[in-house]
Amino acid sequence: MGRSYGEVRALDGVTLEIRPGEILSVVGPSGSGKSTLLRLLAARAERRRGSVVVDSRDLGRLEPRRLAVERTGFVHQDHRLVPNLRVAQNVLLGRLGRQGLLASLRSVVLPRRHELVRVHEVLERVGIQDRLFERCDKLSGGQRQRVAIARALYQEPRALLCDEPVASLDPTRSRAVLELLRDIAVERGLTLVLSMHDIDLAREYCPRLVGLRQGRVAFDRATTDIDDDELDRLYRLEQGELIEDGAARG
Amino acid sequence: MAPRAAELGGGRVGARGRLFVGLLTAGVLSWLWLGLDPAKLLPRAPHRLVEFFGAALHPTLVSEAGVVPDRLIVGENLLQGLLNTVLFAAAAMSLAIPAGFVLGFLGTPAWWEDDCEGARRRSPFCFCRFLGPLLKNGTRLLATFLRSIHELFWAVLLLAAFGPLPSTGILALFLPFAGTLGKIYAEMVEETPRDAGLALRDLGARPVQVFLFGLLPRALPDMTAYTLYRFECALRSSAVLGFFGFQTLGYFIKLSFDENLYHEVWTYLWGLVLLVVLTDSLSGALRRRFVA
Repeated sequence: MGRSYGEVRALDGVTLEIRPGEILSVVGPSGSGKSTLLRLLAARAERRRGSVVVDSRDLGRLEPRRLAVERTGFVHQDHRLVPNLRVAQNVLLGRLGRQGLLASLRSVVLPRRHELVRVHEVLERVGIQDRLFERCDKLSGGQRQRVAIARALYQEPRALLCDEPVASLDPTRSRAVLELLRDIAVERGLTLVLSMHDIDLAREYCPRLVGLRQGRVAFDRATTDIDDDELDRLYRLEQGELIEDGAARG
Repeated sequence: MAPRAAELGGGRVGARGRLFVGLLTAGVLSWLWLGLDPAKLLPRAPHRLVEFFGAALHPTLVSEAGVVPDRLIVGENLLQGLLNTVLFAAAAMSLAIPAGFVLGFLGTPAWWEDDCEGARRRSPFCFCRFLGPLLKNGTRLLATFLRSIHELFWAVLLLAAFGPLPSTGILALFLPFAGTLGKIYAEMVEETPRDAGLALRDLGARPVQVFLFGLLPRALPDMTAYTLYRFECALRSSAVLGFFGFQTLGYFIKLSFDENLYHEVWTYLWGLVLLVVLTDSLSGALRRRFVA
């Protein structure tokens, strides 16, 4: 598959096969196309070339794409919660794609008991059930990330795609969130695709790594088969980048 | 090589300087055009001015003209004027707020526009292309028309059509306030950060759901704060409507002023100031409680 933004070719000739229940991380330097790849996989962006096939169905057609949107949970780096809504309301928003306007209004404004029970369950799974009615802007960064994960889980997805899920967290909280994601994926049989810039964390938590560089796949192997030289090459600055970087610093 | 002034922000400073000089020139030209003499800004009868402002220190609750001297007639008028001022403003705002919501909603494309990389365009194409922009521009035009005409002009126009009924005064306040609220509500929604809304689109939400759950909750605190401020404005305008015969504070101010009863005038003016200060502190408390 491929994707361009104006003159910039974000992804070029990327082929990837992901099995159900697999846990993998897309790694690479800034601007290598990690986020674009995740958005294409989750049908959150239109591709220009190639195809994305889920369960033998091409996402090029509208209906499977909508299904994919409903069945793939997406967690953003910056949480993207509605700050002045309660935690429960933010989680309830996870089902917007499956609800009509009136049903979603009723659900968010006057949630039914069984909905709140389900919300409580997913919040319990991510460890913040005691914050059910707290406003999201009163939570810490780590807690907000957990609410974002709970919102994605409330969708009852079959795959969870997380774009730099721990980029804004300290190392301790990063490990806690990654452990949580890995455990949830294993116990529910979810496919988990992470995009990460911290290569050490990616190696620690993901059995498979896909290295992207300038929109192309540099490697796609089991984590244990990837040596340090390969990673060094992935992150090495090109001559042009070096000059650009130096100029920016200067 | 020495950097050019523009590279150091000199271009911006230059533009600001030109703007400042331009505004100053416009001001001086206006004075010259109107033939204003600074000496004429001084009062022709300074003793009247001293008398008027001196009365501010001695407001009265009984009639200065000796009408029914045993009764606190001015005090009674003050209470009646204050009550009517609040009632006119509240009645007008109770209509202007929902109307402003409707105008604000229809005046923004946020509830039907879907620019999410073309991935899930749920709104019908013809609506986005033709009907939506038509609705938006038509609504904005209506809001602009309503607020372009000041409430006092509306009062003059409506008095001629409906006569001096309380509903005429309420309508005169309601129309421009609805236009202003509609415009500001629409702008506030459009200036709301889009990140949460985009995340809801990623969850498969329709544009109207993105508007309701992603944008509106974030705009509501600012909208509430602005509505409270507009209520203060409505109180002042409601008082001024009294000069057109509606029995708000302005009515009693005009009666006393026409008779040069400055102590009475100041009783009403202090009443208005007190009302505005009270409303300001009340709305401040409401803002702190609900608009955190």
